[in-house]
Amino acid sequence: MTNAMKSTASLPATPSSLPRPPGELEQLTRIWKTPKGFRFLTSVNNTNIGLLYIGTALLFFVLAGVLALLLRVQLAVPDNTFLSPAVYNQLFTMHGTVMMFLFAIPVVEAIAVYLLPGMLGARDLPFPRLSAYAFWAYFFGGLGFFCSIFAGLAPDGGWFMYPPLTGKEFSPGLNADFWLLGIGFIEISAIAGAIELIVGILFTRAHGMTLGKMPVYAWSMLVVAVMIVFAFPAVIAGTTLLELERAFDWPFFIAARGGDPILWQHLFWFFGHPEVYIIFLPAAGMVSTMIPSIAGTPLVGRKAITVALVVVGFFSFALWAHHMFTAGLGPLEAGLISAASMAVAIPTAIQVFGWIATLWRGKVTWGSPALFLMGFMFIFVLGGLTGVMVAVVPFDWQVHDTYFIVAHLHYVLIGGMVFPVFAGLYYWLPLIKGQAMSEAWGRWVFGLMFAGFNIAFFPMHLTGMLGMPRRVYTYGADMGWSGLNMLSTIGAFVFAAGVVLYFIDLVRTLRKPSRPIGNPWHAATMEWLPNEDYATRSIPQVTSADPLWDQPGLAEQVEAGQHWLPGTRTGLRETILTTPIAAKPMYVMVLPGDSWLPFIAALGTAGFFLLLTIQWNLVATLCGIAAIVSIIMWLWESDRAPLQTEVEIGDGVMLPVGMTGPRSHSWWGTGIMMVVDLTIFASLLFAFIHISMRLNICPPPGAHLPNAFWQYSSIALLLGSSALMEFARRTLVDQHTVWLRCVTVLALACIVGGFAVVMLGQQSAGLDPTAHAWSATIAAMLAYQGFHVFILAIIGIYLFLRSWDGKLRGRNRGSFDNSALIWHGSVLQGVIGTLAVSLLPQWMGA
Amino acid sequence: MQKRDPLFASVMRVCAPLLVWAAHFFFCYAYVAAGCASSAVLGVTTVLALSACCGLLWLSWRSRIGKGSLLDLGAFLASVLSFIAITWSTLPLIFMAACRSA
Repeated sequence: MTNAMKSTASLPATPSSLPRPPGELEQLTRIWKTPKGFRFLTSVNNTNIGLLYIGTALLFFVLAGVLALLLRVQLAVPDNTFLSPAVYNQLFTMHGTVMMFLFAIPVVEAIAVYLLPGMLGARDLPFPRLSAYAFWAYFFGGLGFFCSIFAGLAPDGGWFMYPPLTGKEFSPGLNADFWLLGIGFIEISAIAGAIELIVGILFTRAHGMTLGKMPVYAWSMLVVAVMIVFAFPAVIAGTTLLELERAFDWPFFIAARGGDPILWQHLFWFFGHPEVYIIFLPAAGMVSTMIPSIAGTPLVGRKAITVALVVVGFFSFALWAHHMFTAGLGPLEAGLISAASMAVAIPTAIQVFGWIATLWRGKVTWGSPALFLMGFMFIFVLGGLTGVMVAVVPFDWQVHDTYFIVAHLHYVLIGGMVFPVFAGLYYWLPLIKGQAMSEAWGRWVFGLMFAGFNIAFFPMHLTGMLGMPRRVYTYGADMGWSGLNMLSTIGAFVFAAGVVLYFIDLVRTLRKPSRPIGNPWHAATMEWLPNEDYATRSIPQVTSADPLWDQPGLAEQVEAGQHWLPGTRTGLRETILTTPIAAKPMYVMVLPGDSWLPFIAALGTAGFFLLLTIQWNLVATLCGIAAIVSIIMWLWESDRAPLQTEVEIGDGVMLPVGMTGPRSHSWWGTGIMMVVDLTIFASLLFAFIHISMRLNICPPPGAHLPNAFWQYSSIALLLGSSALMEFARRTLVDQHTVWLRCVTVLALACIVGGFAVVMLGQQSAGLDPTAHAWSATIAAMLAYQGFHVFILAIIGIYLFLRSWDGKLRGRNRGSFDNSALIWHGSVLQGVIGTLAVSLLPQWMGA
Repeated sequence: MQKRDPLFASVMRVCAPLLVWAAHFFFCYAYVAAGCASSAVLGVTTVLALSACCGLLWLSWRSRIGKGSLLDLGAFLASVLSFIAITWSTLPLIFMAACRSA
């Protein structure tokens, strides 16, 4: 590697010389070829998965839009009986849920999965099978979830599912369970996407694309992916707790038994508010990419805009409770949240001013993307301003749960996300077949959508001010809301007409024959380089933040194979991994090929969760087993070392093939997964602390703390297990395989023992999770620890078998390193959980 | 790689002031929510947080002169924005009673 770094330090004009050897391009094409027919389902190439992902997300956009139109028909006139109250409840819940969880988040991740490899100059992102799994899980899970509406089983408690309404007492049917299990597991798919994006953006950028030269869009997705890692665990924990309450009567949210419905609100909104920015920042990134192209000038304040993205990412985590101003927070807490809600406007404004300045400085090409971007600015700024209004606590008290909020959130989400996404769809569509959409139709689509949107949603500010509450299925003629509601309904249909026109034009355009793609917008970013299944023929050397503007001839050179890795060196799919800041080549990563395994694993996972909801337990278990087996087979295949240890990526420049330890992509992927896991645990711990703080006496009457002996013995066993794994990782992996197997089994025995001891302790203390929310939160942490012990048991057996098969040494040691990371993370939360249960009551009693 | 490409150190340069903001915000929120908060503790915390931001601002200003890389600008701008955000959150702490029974 040192040699490689030295030799890349003095770069020739182009890294690979011509002519290229015969057969090189043919081999590259053959290895990356997308399978045809039904085997297309096995494709894991992010470009293919990205298109399927975008298409599915748009399908959900249309489906949820149809639900919205039904709602608007019901509200068009007073005292309407078009929908029954029960159906109305299901429709507005599904509209919100599908738009947020099945359209908004997936579509921004989908566009990233599609665009980023090209933009970063990677052949593919580092975990293509994970992307495929995430997509198929979302596809099957999402469609299955949506179908609940046809059986009358759709959730009906609002998209944020507040208990006690969604508890067993008030929602006894399966409807709420569909939400909790369906959405809970679709979030896992979003997290899988986030891991892919973080590692991809940090490590697969083209040589020379330093963090400073990285496209703003990639920055926005990096920030968003990190936000997903910290925000989504809160709602995963929340949905798990609510489902545990519904299934086993553990009263986390039942006030009569020490629970607290506000706990749900905290957990939900600690996800839900960052979520708004998780949806908006990718759109902001797209805007920052499109505006320089359509204005023909570099982005003004590019660095400041990049920093603003990071700052918004941070600040957005302090805004969760502004959804809870009427929930009885103290005035000072509300004041703090209110101040933070206003502070976030500053970094957001930095971006808006940057965009305006860029448009001002350049010469704007008034195509469809430009129109949608203007629409975005107008609508989003209005939504932002009403956002500052509702950040003012007394004002929020007046308009909370009225149509003013419905207007505000649609201005923010449709303005801040749907319009930029449509701009992006117009802008990037030529990447698929070289065909742009019709400009004449585009003006109609924009006109109908922009006018329809404002006609539909602007009046809602007024209906809200006049006192019309959200989520009512009808209203009386004497309320004075009839005219405004009719106007909103007309607007909604005008908007829908625009969307219909768009899709007709989309189908028309995609049916046209392929033609050369070129660079129709004269863009500066690298997704417009000549592109095939294998991405670019050679991986470009980047010297500028605007490579296609500042590096003349780059497209021709890249296509001729004059840049890095112009073929395949190992005979497999591969890409170059670079250092995270300076983007210097580190190693060549061999990428996994197409496979049925992610597809089967996703089908199994979706089947497990959905069938569990309708209590087809046997089939659900079989699906679960199918998922686990295919994931294990997939992992078994993944950690394989190719024959070569070093390959040539340019003239005389050698790079190692594959890497283990903290420099490897798989170590980072596992590490990020453990951060997610620890954040879920932190949310459960927060639930325990929150419930404890509400007690007058801790433990509450009837509950007891276990004997300290059990607790500390368990901690000792857990720590011992971690120490054994670390000892094995450092000294045994490469040489002493028999001992390695013995120590792994011993470590597993220790962790199982540690869990058994803590369970025995709690059993002797008479822990009864149904008696009191305090006991339930302890049981939830124990259950989570038990889940980890189950996973570690599978991992322990896996490591044992791999070592037996001689596949755990040298360049194959990654499996062991990553397993050790999971091991330590699991031990850490076991120790923290046990300590918290022992020490918090003592501290509170002191 | 660690010496050539100090990811953690670079990320921390930009994120340090934002982490100061986060620590101040979440401490104040949790402390106020947990019970009857003392104005003195909130005041000292805020002074400490603002001082830390000023320190980081000064450090980033000093290293920024003559450069202008993304990380330099990031460290500077993040310090300014964190300072503003902390000051902003301090306003309710000044104007509203920390403890309703007091």
